[in-house]
Parts: sequence; C-alpha cells; structure tokens
Amino acid sequence: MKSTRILMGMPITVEILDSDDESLVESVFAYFTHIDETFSTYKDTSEISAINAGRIALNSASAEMRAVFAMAEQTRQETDGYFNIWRGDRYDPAGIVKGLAIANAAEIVRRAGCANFYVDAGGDIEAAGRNAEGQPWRVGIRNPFDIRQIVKVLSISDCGLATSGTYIRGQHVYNPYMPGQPITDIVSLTVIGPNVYEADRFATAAFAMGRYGIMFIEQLADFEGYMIDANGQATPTSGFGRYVIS
Amino acid sequence: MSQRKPNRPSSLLRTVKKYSVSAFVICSFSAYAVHERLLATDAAAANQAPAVAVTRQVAAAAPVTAKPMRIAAPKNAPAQMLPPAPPAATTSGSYKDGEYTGAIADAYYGNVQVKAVIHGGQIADVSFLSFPNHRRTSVRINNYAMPYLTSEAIQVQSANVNVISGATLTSEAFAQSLQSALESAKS
Repeated sequence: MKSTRILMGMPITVEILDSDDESLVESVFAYFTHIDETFSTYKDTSEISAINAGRIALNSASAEMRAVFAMAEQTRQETDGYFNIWRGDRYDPAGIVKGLAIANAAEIVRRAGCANFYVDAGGDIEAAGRNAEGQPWRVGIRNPFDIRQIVKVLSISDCGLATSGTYIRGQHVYNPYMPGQPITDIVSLTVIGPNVYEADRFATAAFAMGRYGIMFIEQLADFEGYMIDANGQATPTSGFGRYVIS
Repeated sequence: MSQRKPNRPSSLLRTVKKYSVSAFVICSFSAYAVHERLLATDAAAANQAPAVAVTRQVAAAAPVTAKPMRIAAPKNAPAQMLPPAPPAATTSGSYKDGEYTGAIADAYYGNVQVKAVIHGGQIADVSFLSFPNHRRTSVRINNYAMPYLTSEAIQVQSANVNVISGATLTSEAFAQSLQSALESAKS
C-alpha cells in the first residue's frame, strides 16, 4: 500500500508492504497534519506562531513544543552552535520538527506491527525492513543540478536518510555565524543515520558548516554522508560506500 | 676574478643548502602537522564513544520526550481524538485515475511544471517535467580535496529506485503547478 499526500507544503509518501489498513495510513497523515498545525511558521494559528508573536510564553507552551525546543538546544550544543532555531527575531524549529515528525510517523507504523515500509517527507526518509523484492530499500540521491535525475543509488534498511540542499527553496539553510550570507559552495548534503530524526538534524547543521560539514559527519559515529559542491564534485565519508549500489 | 670562480660552486652549494634546509623545515612541519592531525583523529575516534552515548541518549530520549505527540497513534487514541482530516483537496478517492500535467508556474528563478499521477483516486506520484537549471553558471569555487576524503564527479544513474532523497521539494511555483494538475484530475 502506497499513498502520497501534500502536507506541510511537501509531498509525503508512505509505502507499507505488510498492511493494507487504510486507517493506519490515515493516522500517519493525520499526525503530519497535527504537526503542521502546531509547528508551521506559515500558519498564524499554529502554536509556534503564537510563541513568535508573544501570545504564548515558552514555559507555558505545550509539552510537545517544549520537547522540540529541548531537542533543538541539545542539537545546538552538539554542533558547535551551527544548528540554531533562533533566527534573530523569531524561532523556526523546522530543522528539528521535520525529522522528528517522520521518525514518529514511522513509529506509528511500527507499533501497528509493520516491519517493511518507508515514510518519505519531502525527500527525508525513514526506511524499515525490505522492499517488495525482498531487498533493502533502494534510495536515489537527487541530482542538485537537474532534479529529474539521480546521481547515486543507495541500499538502506532500518535507518534514516536526509538531504539538506539549496536547489529548491533557494538559500533556506541558515548559518547562524554568517546570517545573510548564502551557502553557495555546497549544494547538497545527504546524511544516513540511525534514524531520520538523527540524520535530518545533523544534515541541517552540517550543511550550514559549508565544506567542513562532511568532515563533521565523518567524525560522527554511526553516520555517513555524501556532499555535492557547486562544481558537481561529490565527497563521500569514508564508510559511505557500503550503502552504494551504483 | 680568479678568486670569484671558486665562489660560484660554493654559492650554488649555499643555494642548494638553503633550499634543502627550507625543504627539511617544511617537510618536518608538514609531517608534524599530519602527525598532530592523526592524533586528533585518534582522539576524536576515542571520543566517539561518549559521542555515541550522547547520540543514543538522544535517540532514546526523543521518543520519550515526544510521547505526547504519539497521542495521535492509533493504539493510544480513539479516532475522535485525532487531529482533523487533511484538506478536502487531498482527501482520498476524490480524483480520477490518470496522469495530470500542471500549468507552468513561474518561480522567480525560472519555470516549474509538475505531473501528478492519480491511482485509486489518490495521488500516487508527483514528478517534475521542467525545472530551471542555472546552477552551472554559479560562481566557480576552488576545488580542493577534503583531508582524508576523496571526491568524485557526480554521475547520472539509472532511476530504478523505490524513493528519492533530495532537498525539500517545495516552492510556491511547485504548489501552484501541482494545484492545477489536481484541479484537472477532479473534472
């Protein structure tokens, strides 16, 4: 069973091999809708917008919101401040929320007893078990210079994969040490980690580090990465090869 | 004059000496730097145990701290506690099966056009038919190899994959083109 919805401004796809339960997929999409309504900075009615507008104090925010802020702070500390949800005048927790939402959505599917599935939200993926051919899931890395193409085919199972890049939304990754300075030399950074929450937050932070980002990923245990620069040169971490099919 | 002659080899010798000393100093410095670097890498590797622990704690902590979010999980909550259903535009079964091409939408950096594939009344796939590509004209940056990491030129691969990872596929133009594709899927 495979289903795609446009939520949180992006295509979200859930493919589950061991269940045809429509209500399971519905509950996954309902969860993403709930996350969007709570954390979207584009929605005036969201809790994060209320916090940014000063209508809700952070310490009286929902437990869910406070958990996200705690995770963001932890990530900020683990990445030398490169990960930062504070934008100078407001909070934008998207860098934590997206990966967390996908990881929790995958957990909903897991708790329903499924072991072979993936959840893909805007190109960030949690992949569990095997695909229909009984093989690990085949994941392509999109060509940042022509998004109709892929430049790497990976084989992943029971882990998360996230890509940070500049080619669709423009310069959306924020370097807190150089606000206003576009990150131009790196166009795409893919990170494979123990789950998509971990992969996503470190991909976001490492991307903001520019060329040093891939070294940061290299130094993290249990993480691998693939960086593409503005000249079409790619730099994989030393252990990345074990995921590569072609 | 005759005294100068013997000087020539000696000045040559001095030059050679000067360069070998410089080379020696540079080599020693580089070797030392590499050595330090390796030590640092070792230290980093040694430090990775706690780093992993931190990461694992996070992994373990995330679901715990995020528990309130799981209220939406089917086992924990009756259906009426679930957040409202997604917008009507994407409700299941509201589209006719087929492939629908969206209008060309103008993103500030070029044109975007998407195709939506409807299967079983639902969106099965969304793909791009056109997308601006001026990345090649971007500022050239000096290529330099990462220390200890080798690089390669990217190469287009066959598209036989289950799913694709890339930077988030959202933009106003994407949304517009998709919206028009879905409008035609309704009629």
